[in-house]
Amino acid sequence: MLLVLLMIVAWRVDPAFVSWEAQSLLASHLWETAIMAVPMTLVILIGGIDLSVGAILAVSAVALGLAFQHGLPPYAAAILSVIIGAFLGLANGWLITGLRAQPLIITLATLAAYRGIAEGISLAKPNSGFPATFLAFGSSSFAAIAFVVLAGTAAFILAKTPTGRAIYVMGHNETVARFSRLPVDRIKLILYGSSGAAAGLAGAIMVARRNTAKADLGAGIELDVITAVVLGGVSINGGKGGIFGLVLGLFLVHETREFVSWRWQKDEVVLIVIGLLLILSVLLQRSKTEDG
Amino acid sequence: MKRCCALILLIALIGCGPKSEDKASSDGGKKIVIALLPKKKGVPYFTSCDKGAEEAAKELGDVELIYDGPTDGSPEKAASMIEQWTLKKVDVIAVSPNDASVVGPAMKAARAKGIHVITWDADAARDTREMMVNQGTAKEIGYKLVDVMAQDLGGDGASGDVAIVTAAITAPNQTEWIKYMKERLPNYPGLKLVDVKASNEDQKLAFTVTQDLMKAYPNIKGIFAISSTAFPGAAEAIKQSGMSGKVMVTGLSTPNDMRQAVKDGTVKSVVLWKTEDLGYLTVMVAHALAKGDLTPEATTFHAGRLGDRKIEGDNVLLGDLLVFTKDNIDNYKF
Amino acid sequence: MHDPTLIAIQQITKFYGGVTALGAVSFEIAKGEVHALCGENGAGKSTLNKILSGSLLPDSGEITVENRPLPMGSVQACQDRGISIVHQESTAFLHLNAIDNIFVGRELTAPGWGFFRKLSLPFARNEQGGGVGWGFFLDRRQMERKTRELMLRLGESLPIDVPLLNLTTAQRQMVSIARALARDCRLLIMDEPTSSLSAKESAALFRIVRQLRSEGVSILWVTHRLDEVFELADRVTVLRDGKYVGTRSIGELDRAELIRMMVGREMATITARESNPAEIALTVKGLSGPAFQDVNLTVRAGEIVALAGLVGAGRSELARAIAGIDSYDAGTIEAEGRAISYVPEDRQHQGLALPMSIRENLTLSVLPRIAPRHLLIRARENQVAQQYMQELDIRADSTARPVESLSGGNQQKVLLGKWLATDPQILILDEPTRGIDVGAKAEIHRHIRALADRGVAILLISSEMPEVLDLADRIIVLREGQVAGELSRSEATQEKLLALSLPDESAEQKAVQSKEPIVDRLARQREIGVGALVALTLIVVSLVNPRFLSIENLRDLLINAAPIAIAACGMTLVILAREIDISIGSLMGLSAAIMGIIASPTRMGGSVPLSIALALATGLSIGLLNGALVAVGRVPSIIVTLGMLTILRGGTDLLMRGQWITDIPPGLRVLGTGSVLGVPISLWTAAICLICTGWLLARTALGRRIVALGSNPQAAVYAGISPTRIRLFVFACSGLLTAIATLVSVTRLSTIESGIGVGFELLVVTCVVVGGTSIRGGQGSVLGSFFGTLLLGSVATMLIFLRLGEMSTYWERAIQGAFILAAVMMDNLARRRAKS
Repeated sequence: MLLVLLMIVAWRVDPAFVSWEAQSLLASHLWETAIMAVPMTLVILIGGIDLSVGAILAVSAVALGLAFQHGLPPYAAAILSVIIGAFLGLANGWLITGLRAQPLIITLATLAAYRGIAEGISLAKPNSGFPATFLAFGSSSFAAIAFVVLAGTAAFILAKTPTGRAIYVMGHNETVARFSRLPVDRIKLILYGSSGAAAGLAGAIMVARRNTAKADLGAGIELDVITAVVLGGVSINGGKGGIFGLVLGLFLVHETREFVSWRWQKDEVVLIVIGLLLILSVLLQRSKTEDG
Repeated sequence: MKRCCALILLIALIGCGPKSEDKASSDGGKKIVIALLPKKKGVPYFTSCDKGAEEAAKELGDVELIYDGPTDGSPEKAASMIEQWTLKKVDVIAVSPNDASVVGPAMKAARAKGIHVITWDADAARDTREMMVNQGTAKEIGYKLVDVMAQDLGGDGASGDVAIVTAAITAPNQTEWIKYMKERLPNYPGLKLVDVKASNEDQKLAFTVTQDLMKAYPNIKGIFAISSTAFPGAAEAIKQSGMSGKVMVTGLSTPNDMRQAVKDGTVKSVVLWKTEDLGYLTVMVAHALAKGDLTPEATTFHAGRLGDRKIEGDNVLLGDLLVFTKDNIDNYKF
Repeated sequence: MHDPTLIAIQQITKFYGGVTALGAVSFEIAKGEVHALCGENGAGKSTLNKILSGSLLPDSGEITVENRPLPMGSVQACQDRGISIVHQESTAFLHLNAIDNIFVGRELTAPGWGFFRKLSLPFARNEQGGGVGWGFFLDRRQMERKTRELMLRLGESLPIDVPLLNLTTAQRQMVSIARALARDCRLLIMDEPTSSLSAKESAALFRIVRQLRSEGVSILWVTHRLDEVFELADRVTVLRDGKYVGTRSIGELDRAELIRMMVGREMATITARESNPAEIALTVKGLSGPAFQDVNLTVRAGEIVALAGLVGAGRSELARAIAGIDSYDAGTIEAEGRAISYVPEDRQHQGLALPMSIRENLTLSVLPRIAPRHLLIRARENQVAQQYMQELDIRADSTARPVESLSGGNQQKVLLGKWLATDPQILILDEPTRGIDVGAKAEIHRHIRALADRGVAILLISSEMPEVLDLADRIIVLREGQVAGELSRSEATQEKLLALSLPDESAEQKAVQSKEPIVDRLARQREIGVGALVALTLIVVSLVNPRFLSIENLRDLLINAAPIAIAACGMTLVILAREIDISIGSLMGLSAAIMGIIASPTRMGGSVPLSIALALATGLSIGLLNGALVAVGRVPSIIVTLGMLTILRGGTDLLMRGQWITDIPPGLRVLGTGSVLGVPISLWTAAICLICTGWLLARTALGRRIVALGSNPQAAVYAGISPTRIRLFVFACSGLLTAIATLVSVTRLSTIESGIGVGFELLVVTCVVVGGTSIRGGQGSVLGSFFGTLLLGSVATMLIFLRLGEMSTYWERAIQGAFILAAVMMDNLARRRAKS
């Protein structure tokens, strides 16, 4: 509803903003965040969190660049980066399940460690000069398709498969899930692994789109991802929410950001509005549930 | 009640939109719209460039100037802004790319839509822009920094350990400069580069790192603090350790920001150019391009109060680098 | 009764939506009587308890205490008038010790310190702001003495300075009773007090209840166990479907009559079951685990074997090992391919996902069956759900109803159904009838028998002797993790069971006593771990470069750590209260900007004290705003502060207008560069902040309440603590301390720019967490946070001193990450050792 309202206001202010051309061009920056937000939704649904996605993205991107530099064809390097992403994600999952530790703490630690690895192996130098055929991989149509496929899969898993059921149960109460003999640890591993893999994919797309592989890619993107997920009505404590909400949340943040930037041309104002939006939307949701 | 409050706030927020609309659309007309993109909004260097740019816009009269950029220096956001300007069909976009490879595609796309794109302050790939307003290449800056340091340390016979405190280690401009600095250093065999440390655009970290470097390397004689936040941090560390005059520090900064450090002797030399002139020249070039007054064959360009400026290839040159010292710094107020 | 009336309940009515939970209930409780309250689940007992204890406001009616009306809906007022409740679910603060548990919310304080007291009063006042006397510093000696007195009065000898985490359920309950007594309790409401106690512990509780009665305390005893009513109560009041049925003296009532009052009909008497056990279904040989040793047992198909023994004898642990949920150390389990299902004892925390529907819960254990090829098939799901709804007679209008809306008995049936759906050949039932009413209990018993008749091998864990004697074909008694004996149905009696269950008195005493020092030591070890890591790092680096250990360098290390440590104090408080504040980095930027703009001669040119005051005010007010949004707006703190993170950063950028402030007046710079008595001001400030926060946590009532809130928010409300005020307080502290950190850190530098404090929040959170403060609240210390700060603060410096050159810069962050991981792992190992 907020999204529609925003678009109406935006249209009144400047119809050009709402044109198809404008929207599709502006959306091109959205997809990497969007792709990572899908598994993040699932991770938050089980009551976890993954702060390390931005850092994983960087490691995968850098690995892609180095592999390409050493003669690997770029598409093979892209696959490699997804695999590395998945591997780092699994490492998160393994630490969380193995140590029975808080995901916030573990991924806070790996956030620093992975970013450091990206800087270390690349010696902070960029890699570029990818062939044009590979750059097509970074076009927004490919990224959009990847997002739609991911979101569709996730929505399907949540609604129709035992794993989806298990995810919600884990979010409500992990002990219950354990006692119900649900494969709690395996699901955690898979989810953190897929969160890493998605970050790896986003990393490859980002490299292709920018024609550069660099260790500072995706810095701070984890907060954007989490903001979108939370705005999409997914409870930060797990158990409540879904993919549809996430999609709305993603577009709400994105459109607000673009619109405010379009209208006021002031980056400072964009920051303030996004922050207010986050707090107010949750406040609104809260008071709604309390009234009802 | 709470819900009402939130709603009212929200409506008030959205309500701001249409209200301010009238003002903006009234001064549309046939003006030439120039969008000026800094690497990072909110730092004095670019703010003073903006000042010069506004001066030029006022002088020309038929220019509407937009000045916006990412406050966190994110090249991703910068690209997004270029795209928005492309959609709004501005006449000229003048970009100072923080990461040329990231904003490059957006600049290309803008050119494809018939928008004039130029770079200023830092350059991007040739095919992404028509011209560059050049105040000094990375090579010039890198060489100059080393020369200035050597001079501060006693000329060709300068000796001792030196270290570099950069921005983030991934920062593209600084990485370029460091490359050329390393190229230049062998000219002064007495100087030995012992470490390169990141300060992550954090003045306090630059302070700490400088302090630690001085303690860990007792023979250290010079610090290159090559980011705008690292410079004051490093200078302050030297001053507080009582090493003013014993350990030299240099870097790029506006005179305003380093005036005190220069005056109290901690910093001997500061490298920069006339930032207001840079902004001024950029708008002048942009305006001329839009009007069709500037052709690729030109070798000079008449830029208002700056007079004639040389053009080399597709670079409009601002002029030589300036070195601010105790003696001349008060002549510059920016 | 002859005694005068203490409490008169008059025409109390309460509606939930359209349902009448209580309809004009009236009865009286006399002074010094044990008054039992009986009724099936859903009869309105819990609602009445809540109203009596002040946590629920009735729609109409009145309660008088000694003929004076009781203010409704206030826990505080009820406690002031001497009504306390000991809850069914434990409402203890597990991270606090017995002394604190007894006095939290009503701390005894030493006189004096009036100023501080007034200062902290707005935050510390209780929910209703009643005139509770309370000074600033805790009077710990007095509290300890009183606790010992109370324990003496209760005849208990539990260790009072050990976190409740390490005590048994029964001991925790004793603490709850002591808490009520400490508040001069005149009516003690006990809600299902024996549901988690063993027979011996129950007997001890009965003794105490009788003693309290003789001291003139009235007890409202809410129970499903009719034996208790007849053993203990003077009078009994029965509720049915929210209506008052009657109050009788125990003398004029027999069991059948009581059941008739409760159920409204005669209960069919249960006939003993003919058991015909077949072949052996389950064989356990020499099974050993952390809580049990060398257990041998067999269960035949169609046989009900009860696993009896005291709570804590290792029954549940054994059962979980047999079911394959926990791992074990040695031994074998043979089930010859039969499916084993374990129905857990705690339906709320282990058994059911309460917010989810009946259907979803019933099918949870059989997901593969309703989802062939990994796709949920709705029809099959409904079929399974319908089948067990009917089979177990679960009363609900639809399978889509959330389980939390069902009564306890129906929930228990869902729980049973959930595991029956797995079609087990071996079924382990852990306390299958805990806390449910007579009617539901009989039904469950019937189902258990039917299952056995169908050839299912059943292992039943129960603390209720009648249930064990009633159902079991064979009884195995577990004592301290070992099989103490086995009784057949014919030879089993209550006395024999009890005799086998009871451990040696002396052994028990010894166990309790030897526990104490270990626990103490481990509690301290958490900080020692990080401290050791700091020391180790220092030593290694100084071996490579001795200058690292120079006084000058150590001093600089401390100075650099000072602002982080100051902000970490605030963050520790916030995290202890189970919240988080990630806006502090941006707040640092904002307060620096405000301070600079006011003090700079070229901007506003205000006076130095004014700029300091306004910077502090900014911190305080943003902190309060965060707190208000969290406490009053009920927005999760991570969202509030995430939003604030970007808002404040944007605001700072707007304020700075693209200029830096380089002309900070010397008067202000003194804060960062000056020293007093040779020690820099920033170190003084940090030391003061650390000591004050440490004191606040260790010595004051307010500090105790912060930990209590983080430890158990629900219980905190019952203890009369106002979560709103505490949350406001911790966020205000965090804001203020961040502003203080800004003061000493920014003034050390020559320039104020808009990027000050970017990323500061992550650094501080990491330091606090590395220092061993649990992100789940309730556990942690300022000292730990300080060590964490030192550790992370010295990594960068350390790398420079190792003189590795440029290369180390590229790996710096990786090394930092490795340090954090190492600290987390060490902490984890320490905790694991503490557990075993």
